[in-house]
Amino acid sequence: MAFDRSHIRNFSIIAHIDHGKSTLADRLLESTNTISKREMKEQVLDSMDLERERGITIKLNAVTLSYKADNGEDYVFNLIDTPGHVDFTYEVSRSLAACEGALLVVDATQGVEAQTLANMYLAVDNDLKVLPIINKIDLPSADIDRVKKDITDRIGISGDEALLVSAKTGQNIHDVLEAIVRDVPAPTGDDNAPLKALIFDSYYDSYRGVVILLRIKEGHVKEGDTIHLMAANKDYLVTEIGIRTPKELRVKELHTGEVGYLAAQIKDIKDVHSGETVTLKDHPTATPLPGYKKLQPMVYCGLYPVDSKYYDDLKEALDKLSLNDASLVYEAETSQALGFGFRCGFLGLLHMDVIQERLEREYHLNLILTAPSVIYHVNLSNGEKIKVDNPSKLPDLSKINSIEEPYVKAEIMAPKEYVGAVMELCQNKRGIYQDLSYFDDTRMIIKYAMPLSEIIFNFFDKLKSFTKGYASLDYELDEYKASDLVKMDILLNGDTIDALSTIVHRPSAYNRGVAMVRKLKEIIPRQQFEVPIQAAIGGKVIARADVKAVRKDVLAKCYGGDISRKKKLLEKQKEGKKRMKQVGSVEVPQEAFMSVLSLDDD
Amino acid sequence: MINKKSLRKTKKATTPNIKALYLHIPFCHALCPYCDFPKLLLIKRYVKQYIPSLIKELKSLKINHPLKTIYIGGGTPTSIDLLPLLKALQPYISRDTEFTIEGNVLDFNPDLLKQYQQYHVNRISLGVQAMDNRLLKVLGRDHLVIDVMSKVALIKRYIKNINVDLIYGFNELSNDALKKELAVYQKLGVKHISTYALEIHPGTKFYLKHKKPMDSAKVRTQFDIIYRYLTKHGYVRYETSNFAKPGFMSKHNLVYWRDEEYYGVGLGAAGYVRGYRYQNTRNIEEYIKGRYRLNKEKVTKEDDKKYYLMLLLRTKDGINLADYKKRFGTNLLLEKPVITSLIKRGLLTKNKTHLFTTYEGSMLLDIILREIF
Repeated sequence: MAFDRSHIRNFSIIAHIDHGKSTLADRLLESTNTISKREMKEQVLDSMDLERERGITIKLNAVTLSYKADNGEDYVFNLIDTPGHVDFTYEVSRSLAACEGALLVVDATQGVEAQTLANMYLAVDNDLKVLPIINKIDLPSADIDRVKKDITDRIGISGDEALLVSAKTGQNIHDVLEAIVRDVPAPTGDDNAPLKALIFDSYYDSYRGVVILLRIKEGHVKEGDTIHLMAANKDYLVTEIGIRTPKELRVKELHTGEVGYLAAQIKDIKDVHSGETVTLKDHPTATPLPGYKKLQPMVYCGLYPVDSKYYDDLKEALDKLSLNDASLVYEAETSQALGFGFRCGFLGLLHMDVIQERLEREYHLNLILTAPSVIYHVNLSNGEKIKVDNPSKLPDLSKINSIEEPYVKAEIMAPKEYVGAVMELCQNKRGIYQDLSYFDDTRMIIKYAMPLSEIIFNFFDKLKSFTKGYASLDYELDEYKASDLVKMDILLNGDTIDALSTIVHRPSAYNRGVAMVRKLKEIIPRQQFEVPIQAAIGGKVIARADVKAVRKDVLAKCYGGDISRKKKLLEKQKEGKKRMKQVGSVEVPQEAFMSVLSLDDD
Repeated sequence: MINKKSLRKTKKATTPNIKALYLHIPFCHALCPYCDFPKLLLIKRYVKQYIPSLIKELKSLKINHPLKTIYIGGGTPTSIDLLPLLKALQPYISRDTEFTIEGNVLDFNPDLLKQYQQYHVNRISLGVQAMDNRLLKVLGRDHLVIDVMSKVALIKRYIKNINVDLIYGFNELSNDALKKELAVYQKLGVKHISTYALEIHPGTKFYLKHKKPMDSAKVRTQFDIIYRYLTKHGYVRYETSNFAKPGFMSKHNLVYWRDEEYYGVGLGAAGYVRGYRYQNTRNIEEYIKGRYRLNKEKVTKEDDKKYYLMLLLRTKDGINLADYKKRFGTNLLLEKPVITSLIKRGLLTKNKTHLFTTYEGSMLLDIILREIF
């Protein structure tokens, strides 16, 4: 039996990092007795360690709460969590598409920040009812009036309507629950229409295969149905249906307006994409839900074990991680400098960071990552076209007619006082000006076409520092354009190190070459011999720096009491050495291979 | 029937006698700005309680044989009355025991030397550090060059075997001043020279004052000067930082560098006894109460290999490969193939019996050890 749809509320929480999203979610779970205080692990929704440490949510999650409102009636709340970073904009938009409302949480001591705005616009795009909430009102530094005004001015909804809460102490949480009942619209849709359900997340379970999290938009689904994934064009038999409370609870059917999970013996997560529409094979809907995009990796890098004997372990770890992450792609590659490893594709830099950290933390692998690269389209003189995702694989200049690189449409929103700085930054990063317009009284939208490779090279960090964190960035892949690009090689002690090659814009090659050799000189420790570091284009050296030889590395005194201390010190240093890669005759620390990301060459 | 007690007795009887004993006297007239040894200012109340506690610790070791070497170091042992300790040490002294006392130049006088001589002290180690009044001041020493000249002459009348400590590798010391200093030691006829590159350790005055360390290439150049001068004048570099005239190597310190066992007593002292390395407390109150040990660690075979490599490679002769095999049951060169590449890189070398560092390797020993460990 379907639950009365007018008593269902589907919503997300939108907040800047540290503004209290997870704490608020915990409090909602607790005060609806979804989870008892005893079971309460701090911040239940962010279940990955990594997420908890960084205060960001990467993996989406959804939980069903039941609430008895002041009017005496029972309601079902589906709280759908959203990740919060530019790499995952699409996922955020899909989980918002599964909701009718959003709680917009703003820190009473901080005010509205850029990331909140970006997600706020996604909520508006998805026609969500937005409930502003001012959190952390218990703090002495809370400035409620200012933040109310901030919400009115920056977000454009009345700050006076905002609920004042402290998720930490639980103050006014009851008001939030009542506001959800009162203000978030109940879902609509025809329960008798053909099934139309939105996939907003999925994960792999070794017993049941891929578990899909979905929102039923129209129709209903039950165990034993054969479902059809419209974009993937695949059929599966449903073996299990349920809701998460957050413990899984099996139910017989899911109806229009409801949120739950579904298992159907799906073996490969690559067949299941967020935004995909689920319908029934025998009674299909005519049109899929709007907004589906197949995500393509935008950024590639090499991943190598520092010690090559861990290659198989790395492969196994990638196999496992990709079970749960359809956006992670990888294939084996070999580097002269680094040995056997993998070329991996990611949605963006954060995605890359997250994978790296999970490999190191959960699988205890000691890794080297090479600098990330975009995919270049190379037109050869013989008329052939090839794709290059690894700079060292770029053919000889003489064989190349032209190189095209991906451009993105970048949309930056910033308070108007920062517009000059933002434009200067975009200009420096080879941006092509498109448009500048007022969003409201205080903010402007700046549009540029920009090479993706420039966005990868610390654009986001720079944008943040140029605008004191107030700018938001959104971009989508646009088109490939021919650029004046060359491959820059790095030579250590006279040998070209393939893993350090990058593709650079010719006019800025000299600056980047100088910055690169300087940076490497800082990072590479002194060795037994002097190590020249050179940057070269087409065999011609454009910059050089030398790491001087170490002349003395021995403890001067070693008497009775020094002996144990000295041994321990050497053992510790030996451990540190394990983070170095022997490249030819030179010992290179792991971070050298990523150093191009932190260059300051402007 | 064999009981536990008799087993222990058997084991003890088969343990070779430990040759060396180190005793630490932590007191000083003044604290040197570079020193990170356990030390404290001379406080009479502590001295009065310290020596009895030290003798108690010594007796607790139940040493029942004469020792090859005894070394009283510091701190500044000559800053206090050592008579009770000298008396307590007599049972462990035989005709050929090397018995060293470390001291401050200004503390020496005929009465003190007579006393030391009477109690069989036969080697003096002097904290000279520099031979330039300006540099002595930089290093916070209270003696002058002229004091060194007269005191060395005085000490030689009683005890011939003299070591001087020399500090190099600090920015105020020019290469010329260093050469002059070496010439003085040579003319004074000191038998042994210990060199110390200045290291700036946390907790020292130099550290607190952010003293700028000398560039390591310059430090190396200064050591090259020391090495060239002293070897030319008949001193043998028998350990990384130590030079001696033939027959005057420090038997005591060689015990450390040959990875042999030794007793250590006193505040902050370390010891290596019957397979355990231990460290004493650095807290004087604790020490006086008889709570001597800070920690004690069983040396496993793997640990011992590291100690052995780390210490033996400091010596001129290096590692006797047959000894290594006897001690650890393995062939070092097969066990650590990286040694072959270190030999190729010119850091190590070997002859039929020994593996040892080249001169370059001796200056880069920590690089070698990080690779072999």
